[in-house]
Amino acid sequence: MSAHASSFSTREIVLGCIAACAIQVGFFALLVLAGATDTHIKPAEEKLPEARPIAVKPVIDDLPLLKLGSKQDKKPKLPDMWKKQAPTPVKRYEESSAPSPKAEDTPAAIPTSKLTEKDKEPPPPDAEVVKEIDQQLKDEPTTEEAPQMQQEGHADGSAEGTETDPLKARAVDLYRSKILSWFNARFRPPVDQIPCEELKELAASVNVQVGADRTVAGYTITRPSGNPIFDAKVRSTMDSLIGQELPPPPPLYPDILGTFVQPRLSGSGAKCDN
Amino acid sequence: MRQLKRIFLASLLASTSTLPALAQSKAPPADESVLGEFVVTGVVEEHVPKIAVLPSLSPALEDVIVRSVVRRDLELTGLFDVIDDRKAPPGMYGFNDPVDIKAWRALGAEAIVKVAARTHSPGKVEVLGLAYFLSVGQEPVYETKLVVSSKDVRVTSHRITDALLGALTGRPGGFASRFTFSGPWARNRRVFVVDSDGHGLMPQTDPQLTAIAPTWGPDQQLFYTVSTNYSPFRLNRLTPVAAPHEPAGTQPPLPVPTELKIPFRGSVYSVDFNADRTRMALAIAENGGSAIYVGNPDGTDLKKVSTTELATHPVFSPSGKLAWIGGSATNGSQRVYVDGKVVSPAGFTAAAPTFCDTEDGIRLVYAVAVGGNRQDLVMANERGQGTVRLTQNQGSNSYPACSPDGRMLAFFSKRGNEQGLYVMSLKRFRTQKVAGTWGESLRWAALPPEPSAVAGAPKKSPAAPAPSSEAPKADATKPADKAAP
Repeated sequence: MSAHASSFSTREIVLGCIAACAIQVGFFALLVLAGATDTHIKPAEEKLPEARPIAVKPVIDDLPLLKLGSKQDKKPKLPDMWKKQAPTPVKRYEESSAPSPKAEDTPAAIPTSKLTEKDKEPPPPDAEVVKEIDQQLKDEPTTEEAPQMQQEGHADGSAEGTETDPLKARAVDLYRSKILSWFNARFRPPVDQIPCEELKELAASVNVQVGADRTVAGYTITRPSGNPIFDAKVRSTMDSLIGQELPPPPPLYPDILGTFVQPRLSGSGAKCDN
Repeated sequence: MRQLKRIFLASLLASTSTLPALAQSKAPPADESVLGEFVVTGVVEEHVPKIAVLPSLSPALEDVIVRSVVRRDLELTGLFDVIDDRKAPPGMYGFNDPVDIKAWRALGAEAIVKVAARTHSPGKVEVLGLAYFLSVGQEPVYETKLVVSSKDVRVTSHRITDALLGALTGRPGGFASRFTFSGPWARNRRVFVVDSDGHGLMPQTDPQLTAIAPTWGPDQQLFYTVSTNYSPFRLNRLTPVAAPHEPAGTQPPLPVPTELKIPFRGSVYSVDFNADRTRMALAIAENGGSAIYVGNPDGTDLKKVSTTELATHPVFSPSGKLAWIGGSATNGSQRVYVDGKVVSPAGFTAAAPTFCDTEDGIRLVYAVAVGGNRQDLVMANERGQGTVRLTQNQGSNSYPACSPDGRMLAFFSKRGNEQGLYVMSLKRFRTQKVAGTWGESLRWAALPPEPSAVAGAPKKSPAAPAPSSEAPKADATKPADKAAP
C-alpha cells in the first residue's frame, strides 16, 4: 500500500477550520444581536364603532296590561297599604293587688294599690300596668275588615289594566319591549339638521296600522311635533316601514298584537356631536 | 370505474361543503361587505331580565342534575341575566322550603325559578319546577311536577326548562330535542343521533353503507339516503334507537331500515319535510345534474319545482317556503334559492340553508365560502333580505340547524385544531361547544312528548294554541300539560 498525497496542505486545513469557526461565531453573534434589539411592532388599534342609542317611546294602547285589583263597587278607594291607618290605642291595665300566700308578713310589704276584684283574669305578662286609667277600652272586635282588593288583580298592576293572568301580562310586557326595540332600530332623529337642544324637545305621535300578516299597512301622524324637518324625518321613516313585518307575538299568546300600535317618535335620546 | 365516479359526484353534491372549495379556487375573492355587518351587541338596548335559579343544598344526584341542567339551559338562551349562586341569600333551599321573595328582590331579581328533584319510589324520581314573579308575591305563578324514570332525569330537566321558558316568555323552550347528522366512519358515512346537550351519541346505520343527508320525517322517523357498494343513493327510513343510559351499557341493536320507493332511478341526494310533515322535498339526480321534486311523504305525486341545472339540499321554512342550493355545473357558483328566486349574494358560494322561527320572525341561515377554504354563517330574513353575519374569524363554520324554539343555532365548526358541534344563542350570539363530533347535514328536532311521565297540573298553564299537526314544535311546547293525567 502506498501513502496518498493529501490534496490540501496542513496550513490550508488549519486556515479552513479557522474560517469555518469564524463564520459560526459570526452567525451566532448576529443571532444574539438580533435578539437584543428593542424594535417591536405596535398593533394598530381598531377604532370602535360609536354606539348611538335613540329612545323611542311607543304607546301601545290595545295591548292588555296587568290588571290592578280593586273593590267591586265603583267608588274609588285606595288599597289598604296606602290607607291612612288610625292610631291604635294601647290597652292598659290598672294596678291591683291580690292576696298571696307568698307575701311577706311585714307592714312595708302591704300593697298600696286597691284589692283586685274576685274572679278577674290576671293581665297578660307583657301588659302595660299603670296606677290609674282614664278610659276603659273595650276588646277589639275579632271580625277583620275585608281587604280592599276583592277583585282579582295584583298590587303591581296598572289601574287601567285588564289582564289578570300574570304570565300573559309578562309576555305582553316583553312583547311591547320587542316592538319598542324594533322601532328604535329604524328611527334616527335628524341630529345634523336641527339644533340639539331643540331636537331633544321634539316628538311626534304616530298611529301605525298593522295588517293581518303582521306587516305595517299604513300610518297616520296623530300629533306632529310642529317642526317641519323633524316631521319630515318621521314621515320618511314611517314610509320606509310600510310593508315591513313586525316581530311575531309569543306562540302561547298569538292574539296580543292588535290592529294598530301607537309609537311616539322622540328626539329626546338623540346624541349630538357637540 | 364509472360507478365509482358517479358515487364520487353524488358525494360532492350532497356534501355541499366541498362546492365552496371548488369554486374558491376558480373565482377571485369577492367583496365581503355585501354579507352585512357583524352583529355586535356591546350596547344592550333591550332589557335583559334578571332572574334567580334557587341554589340547592341537597346531595341527591337527581337534584344536582336537574338544577345544573336547568341553570345551564337558561344561561344558554341568553334571554336572562341569571344571578350568581354566590350571591344567594342564606336560607333553606329544600324541596318544600318556601322562597324568600324579599331577599331575592333585594338582589334585583324579577323572577325566581325553583327546580328540585327527589326519589319518589324505587326507580322513579319526582321533579318539581316553579316560577315566581316578584311583582306578584309569594305564590308561584307557574308550577309543574313530573314523576319520571330515574334514567330520564336529564331529559326531564330539559322539559322542565322548556316549560319554565314558556311561562317566563310565552314561547316554550326547545331544549328537549335532538340532532341528526351524517358523519365519517372509516371509508363510509353513517347517520348519527345525539341529544341537544351533546349526550347520547348513537349511530343508526350500518357501517358498511354510505348513509348521508338525514332528516326528521313523520312519526319521528329518520329519513336519509344510502348507497350500497357504489349503487345509486336510495331513500330509506328508520325509527332511531337511543343510546344506553350508562356509558358502559350494552349497545342496542341497530334499527332496521325500510326503503321508500319513489318513481326515479337516479340517486336521491337530499330530503326534507315541511313543518307538519305533509309534504316531502327530494333532490334527485337527473340529466347530469339534479332537480328538486316536491310531493307526498310516501313518495307519490312528486312534481319538479327547481329550474336550475343543479339543485340540492331542499329545506322548508315554517311558513311553507322552499329553499335549496342551485346553480350550474359550468359556472361553479352555488346560490340559495327561495321559492325559485335567488336570494344569496352573487360571488359567494352558498351551502346548507336552513330556516329559524326566531322571536323576531322567520330567518334564513346559510353558509358561505369566504376564502382560505373556510365557511361562515350568515342570516337574512325569510326572503333573503337584510343579511347579517353570524360568524367571522372563528374558524370554518358550516351546516347550520335551528332549535325547535328558534332561539339557538347549532353548526359544525373547525377552530384551529379543535372541531365539534357548537351551539349559538341567537339572542346574545354566545357560542358553546356541546360535542366533539364532526359531520354534515345537521338537523335539529324536538323530542316526542314523554308518554310515561305523570305530571301534576300546572298552577298556571299558558294556553298554547292547538297544534295543527304532529309537528315537533308542537311536541315541545307543553310537555307537562300533555302528560297530565
